[in-house]
Amino acid sequence: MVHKDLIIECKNLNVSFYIQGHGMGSFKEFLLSLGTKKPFVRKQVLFDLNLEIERGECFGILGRNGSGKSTLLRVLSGIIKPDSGTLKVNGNVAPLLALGVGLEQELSGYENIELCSSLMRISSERIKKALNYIREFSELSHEQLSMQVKRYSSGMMSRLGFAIAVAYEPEIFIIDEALSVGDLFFREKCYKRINEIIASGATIIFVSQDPQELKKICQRGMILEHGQIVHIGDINSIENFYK
Amino acid sequence: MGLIKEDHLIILKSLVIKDLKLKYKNSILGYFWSLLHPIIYISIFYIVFSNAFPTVENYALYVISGILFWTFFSTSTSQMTGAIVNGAHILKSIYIPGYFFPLSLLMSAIVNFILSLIPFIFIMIALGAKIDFNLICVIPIIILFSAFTYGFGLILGSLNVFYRDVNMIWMSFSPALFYATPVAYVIDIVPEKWLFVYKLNPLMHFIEAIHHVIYNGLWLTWTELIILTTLAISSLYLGIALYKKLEKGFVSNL
Repeated sequence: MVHKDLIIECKNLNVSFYIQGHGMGSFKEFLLSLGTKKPFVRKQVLFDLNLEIERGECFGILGRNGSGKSTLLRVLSGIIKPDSGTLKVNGNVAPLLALGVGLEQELSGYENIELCSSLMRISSERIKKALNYIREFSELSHEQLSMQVKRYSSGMMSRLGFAIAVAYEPEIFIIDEALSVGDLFFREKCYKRINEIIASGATIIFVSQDPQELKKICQRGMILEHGQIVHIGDINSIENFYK
Repeated sequence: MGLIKEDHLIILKSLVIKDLKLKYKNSILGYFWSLLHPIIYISIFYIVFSNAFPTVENYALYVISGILFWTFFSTSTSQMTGAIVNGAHILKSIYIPGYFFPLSLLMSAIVNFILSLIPFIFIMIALGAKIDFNLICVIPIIILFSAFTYGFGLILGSLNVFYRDVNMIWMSFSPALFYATPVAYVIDIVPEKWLFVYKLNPLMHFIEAIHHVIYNGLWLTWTELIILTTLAISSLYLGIALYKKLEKGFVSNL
């Protein structure tokens, strides 16, 4: 058997949420539910997931809204702990769950670069070095970066968010339907950068609802439905299966 | 919660800087608000209550010493209540321990508190506070009080993720707590038979210790130190225990 260099390895992963059991609609409802209903009910989101992703691979995850895609990504980034099963991640994960969401509205572009990068555990020396790159990639001028982010257009925000996320070469890069924002020209630029990241040997996990988009960069992928993997294989078989 | 790692320090530092920056963003007076706020309070109490307690010698000094600590407690707990909820967008997209959000708020509140303490030292001297070695006792009080506040804020912040009512409850309850704490009045006016109930209020012990040191110019007694330490440790313990129990549900309820 050929030894595989696995960067992500999940075995029998089960993940569930704790959600408020009683409707919080009214105080009366709340009082009546005391004692009869449990305050929190467990809702399982991912069922018995087995997944192996090799280093340097570009892996696609296809699934509808509510299929558990975002939860899976959060598990892989360490945000949610699984109930049972094992998860091995042999590299650092750069988050890109939702572009521009991590930005603090009241702070300036520069301050946000510092903040977001530090949240990604990047040291201040590395942030300084990346500053030029971020400025260039986001196509934001010095003047714009000195402005508070709340005055940005949504396109400017996602450009800044994406630029920060791609500035540091991560080992595992997660893209969650991020490329649907920004203008056409910027999207092309993002794809170009993603290809550069792939070429540098990083692993990419790309999440989308659109098989065509996955096909652009992924070789292999899986389909997630109701928290279970219904199909896993090369990208063409995914496309056929999805139809 | 493990030991603080180096990358955790990077995160915590940037969160504290963010909190400090956000606090006075878009305000003209900025940092001066942390001075003005207690001054306004003190003036009101001085005008309203100094005639009510003519027996209290140097009433202004009495009020100042208590109110600075009270303001620190009430502002940081009310901010910490919303801390985890407000950090939702970050918590959902990158792995950061949730307790960092109230912790960074507390740390920025401490920085702010110490900065605002400096000008008040001069005011207190002008009002007749004696500068003596016993003032060193303020340091352990600040440390223990911060630990107590953190534990308390962690409880409020964790519960608030599941029931936003916590924020509302605390907003109405904390002014009531203010009147149950000897900040504007002296403890002598509390009827003796109710004193045992009155002493159940942990804040009373911290504020009395501060009066003891700053207003009376005395050293902290061992009994006081033991009581304050017990309160701080219990609050921290309860806060951390509750946080650990609820942590798992944070992301799905934010």
